[in-house]
Amino acid sequence: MTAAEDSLALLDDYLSGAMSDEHAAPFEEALFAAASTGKDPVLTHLDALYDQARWFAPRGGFSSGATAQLINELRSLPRVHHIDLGLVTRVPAWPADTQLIVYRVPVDLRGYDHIDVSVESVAGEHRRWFRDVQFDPLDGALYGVCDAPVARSTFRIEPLVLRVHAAQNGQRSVVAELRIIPE
Amino acid sequence: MRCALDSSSEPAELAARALRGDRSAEARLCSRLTPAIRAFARRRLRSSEATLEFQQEVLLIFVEALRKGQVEEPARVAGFALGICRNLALDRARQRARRGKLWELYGEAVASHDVAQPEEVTLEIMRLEDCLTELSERARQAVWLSYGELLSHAEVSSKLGVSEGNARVLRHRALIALRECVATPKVWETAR
Repeated sequence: MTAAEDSLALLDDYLSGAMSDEHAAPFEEALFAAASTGKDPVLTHLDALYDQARWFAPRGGFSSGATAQLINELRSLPRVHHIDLGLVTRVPAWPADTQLIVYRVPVDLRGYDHIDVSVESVAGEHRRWFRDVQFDPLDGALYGVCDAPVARSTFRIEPLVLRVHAAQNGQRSVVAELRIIPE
Repeated sequence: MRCALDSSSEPAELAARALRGDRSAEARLCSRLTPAIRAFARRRLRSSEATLEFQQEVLLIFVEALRKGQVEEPARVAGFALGICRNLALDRARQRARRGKLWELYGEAVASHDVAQPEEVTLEIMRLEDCLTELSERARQAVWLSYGELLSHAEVSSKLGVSEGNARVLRHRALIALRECVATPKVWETAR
């Protein structure tokens, strides 16, 4: 571990109560001393994480994936843009004042587990993973919601290939492949 | 939006200036110490409202002490603030004991109301949203239960169904991965 990782782990132990009171007392002395110098990026980072986590609370916490019901409710709100993905989807620019992008991936994942979605450029360069994605239990499709600026990385920057990886009876395979082409 | 780290003056110098009536030095000291005060409160309190209330109370006492010239050693200003935290925590423990007795007697007659304040999405939240998708479900859960649900370490491990040691390692790894990820500008920030 690096020094920053060590101090992150120590601060987390302190905050969570994993650190004993005996060790916490001297730790607090060092914590306040470091804070007073304005040179404690780890403290600043975890302090911010609490505030940022509060923003996610009414949005279902940190879970990945949404349900058809949630997406339908969101679609009725202003400044929400919906994208229905197909095998090949051309995505035009959405209105400038859009706040949220909601989307549906047309798969039926009922009976599958351990679902991940990989994102690659058309040239095969890895872009990102969406890990342990949840599908809608009623229709098996994947639904997603994200802030418009974040959605740009998936829908509006370059042509991408999305692959849905999932396991069934212990066998892992690619169950769907979709192409997204920004217009 | 959060300010960049402010490290341009030594705490003793800032405290000395604050004691002479320099309000900007006083504000910078408060701003620097606030995350540590909140960390102190979060270890002991399990709600964001209680943490905020504790922070405000500590800062009120701290500012009063500065303005009344009660910080005798500017070089130990951090220790002075920690002392306020500890005294306040002790006072509150005593108050809680008294309040516990009152709750037993009159608790049914008292209703509490939480008001959820909508908050604006920030760049940091968007980066976090982006980075969270790369974590496993269990790693997300470990961070969420601690930093979102504000559960204690023992409660988190119980909810995850793993030992306290495993929960701790899982959370540490997730926090390290998140910190690294959110520190990196994302492609959607720069692309047109």
